[in-house]
Amino acid sequence: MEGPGPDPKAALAAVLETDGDRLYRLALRVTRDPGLAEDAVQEAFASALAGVSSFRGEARLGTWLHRIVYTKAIDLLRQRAREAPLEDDVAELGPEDDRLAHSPSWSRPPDDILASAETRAALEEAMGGLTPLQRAVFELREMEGRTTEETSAALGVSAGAVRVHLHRARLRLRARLAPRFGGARV
Amino acid sequence: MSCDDLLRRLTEYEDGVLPADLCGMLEAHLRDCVPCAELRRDLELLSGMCREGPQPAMPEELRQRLRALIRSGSG
Repeated sequence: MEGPGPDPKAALAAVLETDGDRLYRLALRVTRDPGLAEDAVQEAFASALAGVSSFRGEARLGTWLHRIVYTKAIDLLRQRAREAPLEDDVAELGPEDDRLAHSPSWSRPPDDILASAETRAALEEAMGGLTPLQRAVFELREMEGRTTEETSAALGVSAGAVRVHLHRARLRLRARLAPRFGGARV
Repeated sequence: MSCDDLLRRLTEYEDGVLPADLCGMLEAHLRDCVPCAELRRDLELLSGMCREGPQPAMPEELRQRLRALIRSGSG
């Protein structure tokens, strides 16, 4: 619950060093395009620099930067029509989620899946079937190991919505990876 | 409660915000229902996959540009 301190530029420089990689990964996850991700991060820092003096800290500065990066990444996706129109993210679990939960189970042994050199590439490919918000939630909760509350603050959505989109993202990925990991094709 | 009703509460369970009575029902269900137990196992494996391998880092050229941007102090 603090502002940026007496030297806002130093505070932003510190966030770049501590959170820079995470901010870039969030932008890359949302856009799935390194060039767009760089643009999103650069525009986010430019916006933050312009507004940091008035930042009063309802969250820590790094969390605020995450939210700006996420917003910029979504804006760039929309502007450049890479995923237009963006799929609606319904904030309640429903029958389609239930159907996905009944997708075939993975039958390959867990150690085989984890040891396979193809696994990470398959996961990255499967992420293409998620919405940008699902990818952002999945990145922060699963890849970065953030809590639901931290993810909620970083993306500006409720904790309940984080749980819904995480569950939906997991179900979609499980279904999309089933043909590769030994389940029947869905 | 049905499989669907309970599985929709899985992330609440993981976050420790599911009411105690529902926790008990969900845990019992995951012990007894093979498809739901397999789903839970696959989701845990999915989480494990996310922790494997290197994560991309911010390109150094971008980091340098951002350092210069902050030093210049203009958005």
